[in-house]
Amino acid sequence: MITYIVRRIMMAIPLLFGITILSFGIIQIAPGDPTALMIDPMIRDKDLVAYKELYGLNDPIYVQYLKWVGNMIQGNFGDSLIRQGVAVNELIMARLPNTLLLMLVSTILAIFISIPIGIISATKQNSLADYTFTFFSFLGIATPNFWIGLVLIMFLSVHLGWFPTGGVATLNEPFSIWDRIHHLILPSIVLATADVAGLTRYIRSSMLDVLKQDFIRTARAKGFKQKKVVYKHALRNGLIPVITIFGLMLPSFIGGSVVVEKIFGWPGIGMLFFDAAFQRDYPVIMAITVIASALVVIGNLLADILYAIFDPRIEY
Amino acid sequence: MKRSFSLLLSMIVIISLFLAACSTKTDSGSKNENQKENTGKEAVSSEPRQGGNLILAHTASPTLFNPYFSTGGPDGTIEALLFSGLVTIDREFSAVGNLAEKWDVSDDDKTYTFHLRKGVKWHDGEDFTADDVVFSYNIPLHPDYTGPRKLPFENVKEIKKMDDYTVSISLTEPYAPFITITAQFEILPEHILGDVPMKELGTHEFNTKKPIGTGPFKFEEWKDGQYIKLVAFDDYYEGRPYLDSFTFKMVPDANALMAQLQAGDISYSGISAEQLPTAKTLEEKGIIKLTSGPSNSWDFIGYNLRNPLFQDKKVRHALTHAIAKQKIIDAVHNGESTIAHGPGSPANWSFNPDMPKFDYDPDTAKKLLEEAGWKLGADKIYEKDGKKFEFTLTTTNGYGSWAKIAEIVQQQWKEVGVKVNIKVLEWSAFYEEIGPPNWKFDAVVTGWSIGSDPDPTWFWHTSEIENGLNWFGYSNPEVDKLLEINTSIVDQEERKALIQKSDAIVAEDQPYSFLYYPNGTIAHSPKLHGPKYSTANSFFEIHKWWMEE
Amino acid sequence: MGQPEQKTTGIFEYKNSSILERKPESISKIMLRKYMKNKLAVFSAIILLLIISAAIFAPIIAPYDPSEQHLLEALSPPGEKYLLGTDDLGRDTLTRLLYGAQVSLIVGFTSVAGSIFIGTVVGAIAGYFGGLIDAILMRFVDVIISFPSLFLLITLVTIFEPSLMTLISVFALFGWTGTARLVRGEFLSLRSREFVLAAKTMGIRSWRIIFSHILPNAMGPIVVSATLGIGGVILAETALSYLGLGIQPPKPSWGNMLQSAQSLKIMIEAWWFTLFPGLMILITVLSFNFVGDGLRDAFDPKINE
Repeated sequence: MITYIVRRIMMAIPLLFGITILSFGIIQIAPGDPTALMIDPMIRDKDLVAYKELYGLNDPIYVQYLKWVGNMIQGNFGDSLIRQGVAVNELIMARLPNTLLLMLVSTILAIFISIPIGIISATKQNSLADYTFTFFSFLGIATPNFWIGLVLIMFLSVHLGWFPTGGVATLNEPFSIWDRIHHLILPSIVLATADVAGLTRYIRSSMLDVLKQDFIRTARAKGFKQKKVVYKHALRNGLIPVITIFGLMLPSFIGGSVVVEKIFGWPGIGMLFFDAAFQRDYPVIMAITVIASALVVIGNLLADILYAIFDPRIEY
Repeated sequence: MKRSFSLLLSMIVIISLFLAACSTKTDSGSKNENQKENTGKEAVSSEPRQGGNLILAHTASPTLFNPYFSTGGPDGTIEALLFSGLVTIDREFSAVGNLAEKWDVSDDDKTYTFHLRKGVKWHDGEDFTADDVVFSYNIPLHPDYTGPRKLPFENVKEIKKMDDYTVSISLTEPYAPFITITAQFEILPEHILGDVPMKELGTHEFNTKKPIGTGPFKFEEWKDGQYIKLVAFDDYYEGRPYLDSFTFKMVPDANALMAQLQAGDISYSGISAEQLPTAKTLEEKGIIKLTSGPSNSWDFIGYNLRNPLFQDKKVRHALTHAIAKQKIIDAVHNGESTIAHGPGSPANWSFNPDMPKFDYDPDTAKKLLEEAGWKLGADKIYEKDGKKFEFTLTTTNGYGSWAKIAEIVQQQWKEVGVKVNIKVLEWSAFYEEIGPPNWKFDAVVTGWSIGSDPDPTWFWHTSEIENGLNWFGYSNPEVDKLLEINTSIVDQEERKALIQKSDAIVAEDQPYSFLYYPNGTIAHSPKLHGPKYSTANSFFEIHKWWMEE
Repeated sequence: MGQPEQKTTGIFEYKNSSILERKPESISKIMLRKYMKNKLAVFSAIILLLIISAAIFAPIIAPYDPSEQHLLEALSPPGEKYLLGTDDLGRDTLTRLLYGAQVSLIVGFTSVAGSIFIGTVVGAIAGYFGGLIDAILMRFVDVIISFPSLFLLITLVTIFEPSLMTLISVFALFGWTGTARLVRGEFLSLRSREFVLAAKTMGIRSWRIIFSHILPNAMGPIVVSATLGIGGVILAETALSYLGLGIQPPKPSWGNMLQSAQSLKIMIEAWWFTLFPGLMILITVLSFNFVGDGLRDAFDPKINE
């Protein structure tokens, strides 16, 4: 088991290395640099030379890459080109906790909603409940995320005033847990929607597979009560594949946070990334793609390890 | 007093949602103003009261607060609240004293002597003196200076401290914009930054974490991606602001901004033309108050004069004749802007109201095209020497209405027989293609915003083609000559005549189809008293603004 | 590597043996019969055919020109003159929906065709040759898969202009990894089958074995993932449009029609402007999903008729 984990971790290292090359490479083909945003007749191009030199924008590409990777290994993503004098690390640390919080809450939400629905759909296959849930999960898959968000803001926040229109906390008010939760509700619901829909479908089919298997039939034949069979045997075996699915859904989950953060003005790395892309703030763009991809790699690593722990059939 | 100058002129894009202000006809002292505004209806609430938090919403995030290093966007808004310059501009774009109580100009117009205000405190309690001025204005002159603001200080020869409260600045030659541009640069504290090596000044933590100024509000905190909070400075030399705090809140986009205005989450914001109908509805419901006026800018379609297609003046006249400007204004600005015939802005003192006009007239347009040798083809598109009159109209989605304008003009031109393809680019890519040294475009929908000095050199002078904002390659020796002397004339009336003459020549040449002068609008909470749209200075006397309970 | 994909390979064994024993049509007949039993899938396929033909014949069906403006009749509600109302520039919504269908479907089909092509080639090469080639290609796939795709899309689309070509290329260039894994899996299990081994001993060249012997047997899963992929691309274009990075106006796409309808005022006062593009996206994506599901079942030998 331990050797398996170590092997998986070792495999992740070249992966991360490849990610840095791709992140860096994409940026290199980009025309324009942050000085495009400094159009002002009172600023002349020749006066921006000093700025470009200061940030090493005139170095050869491989020098830029080596400098960047070298610093990154030491945990330093360099300085922002736009927010001069501010380290990328600082910008990311100010945002990452918000994104992680949002993702954690919506993951929990997604799991707690989709597991019972998936189970009910599978155990009561072709019932009215199954059809209803199926209908709504397809609806959830096919509806653009931002659309749900905008509609919720319009009706629940602007019209009814039940929820704040965005942000993480009320301005000019002292910190309160309830206030933070209040701000979290809508964004996490929207972020969870697409995943709930997808997860429900997976859990349903995974459970259906298990329910058809011999050992469940045997258990039933032995006279176990339906409920006990479902929860004790089928659940365990039916949910294991979901761990992997979850790992696979992680990239789109993180990507989805860009949209949700933009809708709700949620100050996370998704918003930071979006602004940085428009401002050509390359160090920030590269840092976030690397961090987000690393999160995916780590997520998948965890999923694999969890899978190994939960699935007794796998041997090492 | 403070101002919202941050750029001489800048692309409207950058300040799109927060059109930095505008002028009203009355320039009375603001004490009267507050009363005037309120005597009518609400006599009860007309007494200013201490307290209240102003929350301003903006879709762009500031970058740093140091006028010698910041490059635009909303930085200037906050800089103007934190710091003060020697002078500021009033609503008519005239310089008035700020940290300098008054100033004298030498007979040769080359030396300015500033008499500084006494008893001004920095936010950390230190006294403001002439040393701060000498220090600050020497920053862009330093050989190690890495910031982008060398140009406004190019004519500055020497900054001399005469005594603790007198500074004299000598110029290499008379330069009219000196007082409204250069002398507006905010003063930084010498006692904090004096020992910082010049190379490190641009990235010093002062700029982002602990700015210290002499302005009405002092820095409290910057929550990245959320807000920047400033609080009232008790020892502000014109008296503590009524407001307790000023919060600059970042919102993701214009729609979110409108939602937050409606929900009452924000108390002050610029309104873009596209959102105006929504804003008006909110005003009718009593949720917000609007204040508007001409902004110091103009939108246009510029032609790449390097392209033979546009080199005939008749063709450019024809293209302008084919545009129904009022229809555009009605469709995208809710009818709130003024038709433009030439450069400048009615908000500006140098504006020429009598420029040559090329009104909407499709028949004349066709006639002119035929005079220029074009013939209507079988597909109702003009052609000449076997080539169709077809070109690409480029614009950016950075500023809401330009892409829509491109679509409307496309149809209007099609009606006279000119075929246009539209290309919409994201901002950086747009600039990359349009700006030097590529100039990869046929025609562009965009706009210019004019700063506190109206010098039009940047747009029209031949020397600005290679590296400046004259992207379109316009060149007219007569205009060049007028522009060269305009900045050396300190007398405003005399200078105005020159600029008006030059603007009229440009209008006759029509290197652009001038579209309209946009109006700017500000929305604020009905409880907030004091805001008045002013393109010169929207936060004029903000220390006198106040908020009802 | 072994053959862990026992479950999914049944069909192909069946199919392979059929090469000798039965006429190939019979399999497609069986699959067709299975598919026809899935009412929802059949219904969705009909809807999709209708949408596709509407898009193809848009110039004939559409009552107006898609860029024709009637500024005085901007934001007219649905009525006799404009069946589904007009947008903020007075353009006919129905017309723009039809032309938008062209754009959205072109983006969907071509990007998926591109990504299926790349994915199949990479997956086939990796799966067939195995070893070092497989390891290198699959590590490359891992790298791309680890990138949150929306981040990539935003970066690339802001770097290049968001034109039709850019979007299609970006979707194609970064959407192929799933297919590659799938195809590789199929190849791994198929390459040691008797008929492949037989072909090898007969001295047939690798590329012929890949394309005329193994690939046809792996078509099932590829078709299913392509079908589901098209819906995904249409949704992704919509998300990019929300961020201002989708197909740019004046060219209508369902995504940018929905985007220009974001403002609160339009949401409340001009519901038709937002409802119809939204509905079209919903119906189309749903249909592709149901068709995909139907195909999956039809290809799956475990599911009995």
